[in-house]
Amino acid sequence: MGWYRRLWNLARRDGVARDIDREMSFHIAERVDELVASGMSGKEALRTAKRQFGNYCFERERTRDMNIAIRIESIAKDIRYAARGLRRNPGFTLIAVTVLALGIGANTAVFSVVDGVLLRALPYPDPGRLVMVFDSFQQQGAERGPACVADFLDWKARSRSFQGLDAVGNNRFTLTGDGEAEQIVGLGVTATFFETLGVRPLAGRTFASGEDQPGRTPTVVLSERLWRRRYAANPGVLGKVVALNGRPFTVIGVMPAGFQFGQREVEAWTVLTLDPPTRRGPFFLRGIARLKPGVGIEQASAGMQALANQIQQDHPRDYTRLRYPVAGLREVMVGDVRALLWILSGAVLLVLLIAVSNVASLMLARATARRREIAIRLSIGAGRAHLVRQLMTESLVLSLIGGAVGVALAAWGVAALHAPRSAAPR
Amino acid sequence: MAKSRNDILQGTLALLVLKTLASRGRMHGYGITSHIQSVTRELLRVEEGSLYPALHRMEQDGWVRAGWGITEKKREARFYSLTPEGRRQLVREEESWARLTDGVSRLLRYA
Repeated sequence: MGWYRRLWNLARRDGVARDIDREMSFHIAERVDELVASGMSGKEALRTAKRQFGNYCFERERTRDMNIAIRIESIAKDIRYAARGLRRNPGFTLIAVTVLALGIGANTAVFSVVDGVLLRALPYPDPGRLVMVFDSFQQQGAERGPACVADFLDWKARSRSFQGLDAVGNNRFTLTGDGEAEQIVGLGVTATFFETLGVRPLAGRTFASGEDQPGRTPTVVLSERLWRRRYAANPGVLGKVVALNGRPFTVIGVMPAGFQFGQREVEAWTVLTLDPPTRRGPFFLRGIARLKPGVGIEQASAGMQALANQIQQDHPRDYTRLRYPVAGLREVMVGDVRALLWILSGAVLLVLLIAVSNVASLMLARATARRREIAIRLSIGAGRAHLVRQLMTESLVLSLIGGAVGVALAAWGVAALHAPRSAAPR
Repeated sequence: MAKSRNDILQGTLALLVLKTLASRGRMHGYGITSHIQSVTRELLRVEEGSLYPALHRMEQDGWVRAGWGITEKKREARFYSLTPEGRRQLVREEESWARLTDGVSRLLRYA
């Protein structure tokens, strides 16, 4: 009888029990008829019939439980035997587990980072056309530094590669008005920011174009997290006035939970009001743009470089060697980690392969050494299938231990991999 | 439980059930006990407590097939019938029974 049959019985135990009940009551009814025919009273007959049936149900339950208990016990025995065998050879066990743990741990750690950074798509439609635009000039010193309002207005007026072009600048707010004051991370964005990214609000609306002109009522779009946490996901929050850094802002919309740009912690987006600049500075803006269809990053870069050269000529005292670098959004987010990550994952894959082949040859060597033991066990009646099962159990126990240690290593490894990238956006 | 003389020898129950089903076709459990009792003139009595476990075991081993049906008295009963595998098992059990009785009777004659 197959063990799956027993498990199947266990699984449909209700059905089986019902069948047994029905069968039993039929049998008892027939017996009662017979006893009554032979002159017994109905009551007496029923009692006798039931007594004859005895404790069949109880017996049956016990048999079934035993069947399963035996199977489980024999698996447990295999595991105990495997553990004993591994304990007897601590050197072998230690080496195999360590090698497996290193291989598995390194792979798990690197893959979890690769998955988060490289494999998950950016949560915007057609993300390949999203680019970021920066400033780079000698005084600032950064390869991809922030721009000033004048730069941004020049880009907007004179670049021709973009379908939408917006600026973002980080803000930290103290949020007050109904409830406790709390510090939240905000992002100032120009009015068409959400259109450029191609995302829609969960509730309410995003900024209307022109809302970033000076003199308009300040408005704010909340993150889903903030909306849920502070306003209990109440749609009535739309239209309400909250205070950010003591200034009143009208809540106009809520973004969906998955939406994120830049720092994950951003919980409010406000309109960046771009006052007409009187000088070139301060530098705090980053450009986010969607390339026109058919325009590549190189083409956009060339256009922005030409523009930078003109600005440089117009403002020689503000800039030296001005450039407006354009880079794909994904590349900016992932940064130089990308190549490093691919190399790293290739390397750890090789480590795993080496680990596996090492463990395999260790096992092989051990198997040769155990031929005697196996021959003896075969000759005293161990089934071939049982021996195979036992050896498999041994390998399984070994790999489970290796895996467990590996995952623990990975948890530590992921933290280690993340640490130097705390500045990176993902 | 005290053993009475007409307790069925361990292992022969399957043989009795298989033989009954082979000669009488489709039967329910109660019918099997009555048949065995009447044919053996009450020399053998099948305990319900062992018959049904044996039937279920035989079903799981694929010797018998079971299904619900209605008796002449319009009662629902579980009917058992022999499978081809059960038929082969019957031949094997008959052979081993013959060997056993042969062996036992030889011993009784010469020992």
